[in-house]
Amino acid sequence: MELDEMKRAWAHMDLRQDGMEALLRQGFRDRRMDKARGAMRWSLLGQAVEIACWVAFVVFVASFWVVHRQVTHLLLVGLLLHAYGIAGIWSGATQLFLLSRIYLFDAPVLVLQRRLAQLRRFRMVSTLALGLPWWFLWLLVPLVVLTWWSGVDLFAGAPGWIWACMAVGVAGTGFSLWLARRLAGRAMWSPWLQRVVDDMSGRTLARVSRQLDEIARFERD
Amino acid sequence: MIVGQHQRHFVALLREHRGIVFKVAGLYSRSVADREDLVQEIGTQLWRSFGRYDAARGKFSTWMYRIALNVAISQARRWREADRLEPLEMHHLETVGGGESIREQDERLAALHAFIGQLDALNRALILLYLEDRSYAEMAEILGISETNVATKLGRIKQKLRGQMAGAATTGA
Repeated sequence: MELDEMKRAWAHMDLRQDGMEALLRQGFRDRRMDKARGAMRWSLLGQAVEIACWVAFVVFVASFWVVHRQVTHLLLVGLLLHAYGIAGIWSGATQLFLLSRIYLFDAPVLVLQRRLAQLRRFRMVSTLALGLPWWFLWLLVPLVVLTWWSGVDLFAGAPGWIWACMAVGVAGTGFSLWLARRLAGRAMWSPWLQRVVDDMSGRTLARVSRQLDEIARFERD
Repeated sequence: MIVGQHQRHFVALLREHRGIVFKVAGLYSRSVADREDLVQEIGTQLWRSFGRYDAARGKFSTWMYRIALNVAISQARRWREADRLEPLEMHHLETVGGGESIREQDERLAALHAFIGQLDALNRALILLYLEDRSYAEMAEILGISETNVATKLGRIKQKLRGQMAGAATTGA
């Protein structure tokens, strides 16, 4: 059979459309359509609020290390957190930009699918880059806050304990990545956990790369 | 335009072009439940984007194909990643054919769907537009590739189909 014959067969196909119309009417009746519009606005607003929080964090950390610039370890911790905050702003702003390019879904198929894959890859990488450091930040952030509010320098008081916690952080980071690789491919009871494992084990990245390759091939060949 | 009028205008256009939503949803889903989800998802996204639709920039059907295909391809990817996407097979035809058994329908449709089932999401979109008798220019506009590329790809698909038919005939003989 030739493709043209298939086209004739397709044209004669009996399509039942009444069910679809009912579904769409139901969408308006339940106000699901309006809610969807609202949800997208909230998503963009949420992203903007996230950026504002990161900016506030950077301002706070900057004021901290400027005040404590004479104390080397406090200056270093402040600068590290400052860099972390700037990474957060960059991540939030980039995601906002990428989201704004896709949310209408009306771009040509290849363009939109590529943008979706890029957003997914960026989200995955930035979540990992901003999430894994919390093996260390859980200690550094309270250290800075405590010093700022009460003047008590935890590091000066108990440097051994701080270094021990940092060592635990290094081990914890390695263990997280090892565990994610071990669990990769297994079905998880929670979709959220499944996503975390897929992101940390590199499975998501591999999928997105395949998707981008497929798009590039389709465009090129 | 006030909200009520805007919505009525949208519903009228949607009714006129409803076949697009239905066929796209049918081609990328594997069960009636999936198809219903996809129809609603496409309808929601169309309504969400309708405020920015500009008739002067292109036909409504072109705009609708873009959104419907984008939603369907994204959803199909999520199903695939959740190990839920199966090849388009006989049971799928029941969703496209309105619930009737495929055996009661034209056997050419069975062959057509078996063939489409082997294609990836992007080639599936291309073949759908071809079957819907869209011009090369419109296919190119919807997919975001050149007309030459459209022609080349369709040529390859035809070649592949001929090869399969010849193979099937040899096996059958």
